[in-house]
Amino acid sequence: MEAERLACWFNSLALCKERYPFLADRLDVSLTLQHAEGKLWIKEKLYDLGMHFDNTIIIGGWYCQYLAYALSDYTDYMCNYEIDPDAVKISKTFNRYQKEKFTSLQKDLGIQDLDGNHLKQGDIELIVNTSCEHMYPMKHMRRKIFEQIMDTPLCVLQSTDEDKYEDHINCVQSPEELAEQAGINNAYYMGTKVLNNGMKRFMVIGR
Amino acid sequence: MKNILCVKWGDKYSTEYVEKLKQQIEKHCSYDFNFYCLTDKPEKEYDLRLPQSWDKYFIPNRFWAYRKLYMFNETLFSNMQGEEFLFFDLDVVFHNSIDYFFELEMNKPWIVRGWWNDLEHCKRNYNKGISPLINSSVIRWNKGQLKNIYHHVNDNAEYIFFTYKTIDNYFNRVWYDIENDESKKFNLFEKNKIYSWYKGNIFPEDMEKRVLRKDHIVCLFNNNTIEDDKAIEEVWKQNV
Repeated sequence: MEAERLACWFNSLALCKERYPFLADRLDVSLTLQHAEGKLWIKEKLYDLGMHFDNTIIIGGWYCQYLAYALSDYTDYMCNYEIDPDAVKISKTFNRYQKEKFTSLQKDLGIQDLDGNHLKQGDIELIVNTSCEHMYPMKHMRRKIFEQIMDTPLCVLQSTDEDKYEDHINCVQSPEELAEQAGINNAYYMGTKVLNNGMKRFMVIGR
Repeated sequence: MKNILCVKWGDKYSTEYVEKLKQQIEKHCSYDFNFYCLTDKPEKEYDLRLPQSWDKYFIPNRFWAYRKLYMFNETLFSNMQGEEFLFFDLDVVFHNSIDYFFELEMNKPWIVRGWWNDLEHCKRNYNKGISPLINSSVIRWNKGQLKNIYHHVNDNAEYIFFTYKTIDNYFNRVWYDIENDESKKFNLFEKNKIYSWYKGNIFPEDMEKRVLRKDHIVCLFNNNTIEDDKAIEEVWKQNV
């Protein structure tokens, strides 16, 4: 599986750079060490929790290489809800090696509903958003999702205090603030990690 | 009856802009029309007061020009009768007849697609919420056709005001499909009708900036440098 995944990624990187030459630098950035560090942190903590999930919502997973890999052992199915149509296609390309358990759709869950076909894949038991700094506080989306599935799945959320980027519209100063913004009352894990590029990441896992 | 609208709030534009727009419309529209300015400071007979119900959601530097979206709910303005609506930003100049806008097939409303934009640049910036292809400087709709946009904003106001930098970004993401010009909510005005003073006309072949293209209908001065203010005044002198 590891060899298959790596072969798929190398092939996908070449393919996507050919199809989307204007995104070549973004593709490179998406595979940098700091992105790997942030996502593998989730894998490590999910291992510690020892839980397994039927069906997962990924919010704004972008190209979703490391993230879908990190979640793969812990969920039977996952859907990456992305606003960017190119990111939807690219994330599918990179995840062909696990296409039976990964899909991606262009939807903004802040104003749109979950996909019916995704819901048929099993009970939603996990929500993952590693880009909370790019969007409205997660309390809103959690409430919207609850209204659709009448359940409160476990949440894995990441954000940062790095506010020098124009699209970081919702930075937080601590994991506690991230939890508070998301309405997480029962946190199984809260932590901070300084990534290879110096960016501080906060992570909260809880309900 | 045809209704031609503009929206003015705050101090960015003086009432002179409204007057010049009205004069240009009188010169370049052969149909009978009503002219209205939706404004926070009604003074003239054509002024209609803007609602304030969304002001509480406003965050500085986000969802710029949200007040334009009130006009999509025509029932908020009881004086505004008729079925056909045409909106212009205040900083526009007409070179030719604007009758074109009332002769379009109205199966869907119409909006500006900035043909001067580099599509790849817009796609690169798509998830950053900048560089929209859609431009709301000119909009043509029939009564009720855009009411669902008003309601969408009204129903999701906190989220939308937080998320989008401008209403053009909102249109671009929610009501337009960057992969397919033909789909979704709007028809797009064809090339060589509307161009941008400070960006050009059509990417990449006709991108000369700050020149007048007098065979087009509308020039958008959608920037606010002092040089552009001088340029629009110069064109007014020739045009009005």
